[in-house]
Amino acid sequence: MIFPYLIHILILIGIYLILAVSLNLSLGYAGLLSLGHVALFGIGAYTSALLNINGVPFVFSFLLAGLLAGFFGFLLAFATGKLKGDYYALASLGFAFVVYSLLLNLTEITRGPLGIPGISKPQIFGWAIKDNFSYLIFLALVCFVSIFLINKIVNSGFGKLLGAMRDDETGLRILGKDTKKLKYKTMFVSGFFAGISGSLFAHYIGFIDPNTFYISELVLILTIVILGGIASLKGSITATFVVIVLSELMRFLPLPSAIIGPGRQIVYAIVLIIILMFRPRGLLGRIDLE
Amino acid sequence: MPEREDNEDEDEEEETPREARKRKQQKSNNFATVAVVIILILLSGYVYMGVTGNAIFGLGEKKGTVQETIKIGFMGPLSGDAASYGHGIKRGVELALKDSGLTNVEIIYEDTKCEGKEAVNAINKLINIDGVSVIIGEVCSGATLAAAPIAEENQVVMISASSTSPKITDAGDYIFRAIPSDALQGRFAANLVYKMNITNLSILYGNEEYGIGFKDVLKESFEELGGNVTAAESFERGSSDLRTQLTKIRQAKPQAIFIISNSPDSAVAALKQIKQLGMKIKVFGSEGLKGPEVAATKATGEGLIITSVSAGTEEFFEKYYREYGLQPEPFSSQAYDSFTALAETIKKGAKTGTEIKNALYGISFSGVSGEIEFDSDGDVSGNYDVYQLKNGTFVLF
Repeated sequence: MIFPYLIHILILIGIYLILAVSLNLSLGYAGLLSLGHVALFGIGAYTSALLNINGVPFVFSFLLAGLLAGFFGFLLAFATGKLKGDYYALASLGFAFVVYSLLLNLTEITRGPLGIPGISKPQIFGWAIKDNFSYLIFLALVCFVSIFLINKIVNSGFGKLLGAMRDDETGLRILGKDTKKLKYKTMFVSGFFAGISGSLFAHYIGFIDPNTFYISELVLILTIVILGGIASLKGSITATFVVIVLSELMRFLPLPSAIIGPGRQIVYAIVLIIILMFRPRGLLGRIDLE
Repeated sequence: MPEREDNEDEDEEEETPREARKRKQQKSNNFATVAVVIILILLSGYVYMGVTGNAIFGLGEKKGTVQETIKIGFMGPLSGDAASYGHGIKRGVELALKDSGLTNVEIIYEDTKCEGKEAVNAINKLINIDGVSVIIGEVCSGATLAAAPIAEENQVVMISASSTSPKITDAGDYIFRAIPSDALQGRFAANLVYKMNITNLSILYGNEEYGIGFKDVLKESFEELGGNVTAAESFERGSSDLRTQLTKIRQAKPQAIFIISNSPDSAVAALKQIKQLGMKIKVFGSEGLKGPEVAATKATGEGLIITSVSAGTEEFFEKYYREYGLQPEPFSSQAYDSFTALAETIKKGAKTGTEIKNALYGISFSGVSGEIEFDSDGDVSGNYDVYQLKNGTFVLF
């Protein structure tokens, strides 16, 4: 009976893999400390769920989720074009708050705090994914393609430019590169993958509400990316496994479950503090977190 | 490409120290990865030992005791902003376990924070690792709906003490609840109002799923009884200016007004503005009005009559107070009845999810929150109390 449980955990890992890797693209490679990532994840989840419930086939709702989240990523980059470093982080956190509050208050569209129940498992043309095992296979496929694409991007000339922008934006501009355009593109791609992972999340869990896409989730994905190491895809992949498995293993500790829930948040916080104090580049990171 | 060449030159100049640094970094990278992997293996080993160890202990115990232990899962918010509901329900369940006298039952608690994702995590763990055949929970309707398909697929019974969404009625054969659906409160309210010789009623309702659902049932049932709904006006959740709606209602000249609200702010505003507009009519309200904010309006809300799910019999109040030194919390009585219903089936010999499900459909007893008898959808019929606001406190009507 342990296999269904393992499949469930692997599915969660797959979803967070895409999310973490997409965050690492903007945070690690491009140096945009984007705390609004969780909102892009939420936009993807809501878009896909609402479209699918209203009769749009999964394939389209899935892709539209990515495109819309990507568009919002672009908007965020557009609106915060002049901000850098901590100021950008604050503005993007503000973006996360705004999206949360919209999800909560646009009750006619999002049903507000009641959330959206009954999101069905995907149906891809003729192939209906009913059990978790098939979902895992489908997810592994999407995951593989996403990581492959992001890996391609970061190792391309474009990826090198991102690294240069992170390390010395003014220098890059002196060389005649348009860093604004770089940011727009990065945020679009990062948002796109966050959006499709949101879609995969919504169709797996079957229920979403605004609280799913708020601070605690943001802390989780930041922990993953920072633990794994910024600008390291391998690091993010390793850290996703470590963090998700660790948080599930905590269930088995002989402690009252009322303590384990908050305990998990404490562990994330401790991991973040230890990393920042002793190993600012994370497990497999290539550059220090500033 | 001049800048690139420059870089390469630099590389060559610094090659030795850089390489050394790189090697060092590589080493520490490897070290960190190895450390993490070892920790993970140790932890999984610990858990594995824990799981199999328990199984061995379980076998050992089985020889001593005659009966097999039945594992019951509990899912609810034990941390987070809805934690007070979770703990109230947990206390209700524990009290019922104590009273049932069952010794072959083990309850495994999982915290879900009322979140869909956490509920799905928890139910996967409860079913696949602990092998529970029945789960008490979830607490919030959304989380219940997220977990229900998984319970249904694995033939595990879920029984909720607090999820009132009408959607749960159709959630599946294995999904029960000991609290009536929101849809039923409308019917109960219509009867209550009609019995007080009121034939002209106006409704002021919150424009959301809860409000609309309640209003539709109330209107339909009231008209079936022979009454007349002269006006039904909606407001947005949390809005504090309801004069437009109330003026329209005043023009319809009803004998009474029924306020359906989940928002204390709007409810208080409605009560105040009814007085300001000089409307001298009877005021009724849904259970959302039963809160300290409304009670604090005192003279403004005086005489307000509300319907509410039952908080439990007096005997239950005493028992609960003796055990915990607390008044029964919201849904404690429903939690008590949920477990009592399960205990009945277990006493009759039901063990697997399917056996418990079948037995639950045949159960009928008088619980602390009212009559417990599940209909074919796993719902109970309305067990409501009526309260009236008198001198700033809600007293049984």
